[in-house]
Amino acid sequence: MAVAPQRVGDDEVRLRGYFVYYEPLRPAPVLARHARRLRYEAGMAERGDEQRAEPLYREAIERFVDAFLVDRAGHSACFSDAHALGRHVAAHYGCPMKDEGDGYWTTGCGVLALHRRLGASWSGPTLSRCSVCGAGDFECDHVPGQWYDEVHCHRIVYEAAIREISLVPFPDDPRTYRMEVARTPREIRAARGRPLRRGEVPMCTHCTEGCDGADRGPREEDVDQSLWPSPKLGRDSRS
Amino acid sequence: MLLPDTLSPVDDQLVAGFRDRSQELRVRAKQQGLAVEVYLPQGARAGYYAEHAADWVLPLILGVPAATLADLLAGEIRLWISTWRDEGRSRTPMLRYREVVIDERTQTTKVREVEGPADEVADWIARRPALSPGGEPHEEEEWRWPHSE
Repeated sequence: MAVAPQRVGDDEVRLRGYFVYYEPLRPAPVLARHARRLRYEAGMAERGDEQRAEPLYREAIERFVDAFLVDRAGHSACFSDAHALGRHVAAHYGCPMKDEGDGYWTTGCGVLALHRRLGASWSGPTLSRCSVCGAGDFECDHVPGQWYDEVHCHRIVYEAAIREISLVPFPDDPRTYRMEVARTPREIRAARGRPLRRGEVPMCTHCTEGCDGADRGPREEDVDQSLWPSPKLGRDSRS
Repeated sequence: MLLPDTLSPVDDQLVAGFRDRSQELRVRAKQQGLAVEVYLPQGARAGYYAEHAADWVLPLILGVPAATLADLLAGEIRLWISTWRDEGRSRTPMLRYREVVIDERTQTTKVREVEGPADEVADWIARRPALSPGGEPHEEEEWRWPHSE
């Protein structure tokens, strides 16, 4: 589920991202295996049809990113793998940014999520039914996550009242670290040293020029979340 | 007794929102012969409440849990940690524990809250001083904050 972008002034920050994913979160080893498989398939495809290889490479990047976000310490190599693939993709296919139609440019690449310190979590009450017997909340003794005669128990939510979406250092779903920060025309101009030409599409150069994550691997603070500074709260946030 | 985190309308119904581990704790306690109730204010129906602060937030517990319930809580947390590890996560999950203590004499309510690495919070819950019958601490007993060793 995505957060819709709003028109903002040139000096404000525009964020866009996901606060809930429909697909269940898989364990990090499964994600990493899937990523390596996709990378292999992309490599094989590249020998014959380069265009078929590109989406496979891009999907492999996203799965490496997921594996790292789910388990940073245990899958730190996925940080380097994602950047290395990103460098290869940028060099061979390019990583054009997306025109938002009002002068803003975004990139939805997961590699940037490897450096994010905030993800999105939502809050609010929900009503659900038991997947085993259909009873309402707390009306049966089935426990979510358990199996009963080969039937998995989980909550089937049929009503949710979303109160707010917060940016937090430990989001409920680590995939929500994927957040697009729109680049303003001023930022694009500053980064390139010149304004964009008519019809020119800016390219993301994070993996080729901006970050050496492919060679050095993650920094200590990328892996150890206890080193992250706590976000300022309440009055402190205004100082 | 487990208390709801919120009481709010959802689609014209008043919903008492409990944390998502409440059902698990209620059922486990029942299986062990312990009476754990879910408190529903009049006219409300039970639901769940999601709000992410720590990895796991236990439901609000009324009173200080007796030793048997504390053991159950600690055991459940250790089980969740084990499942968390089985899912391939190396980081230690953060857990928030809260209990509500009502002082009948002064008509005041205190909410005590502990948040930290789940294994340390589980150890602290299990090691708390023995409680007087009824699950409430002796009057002279001080609230002891957990500390890392």
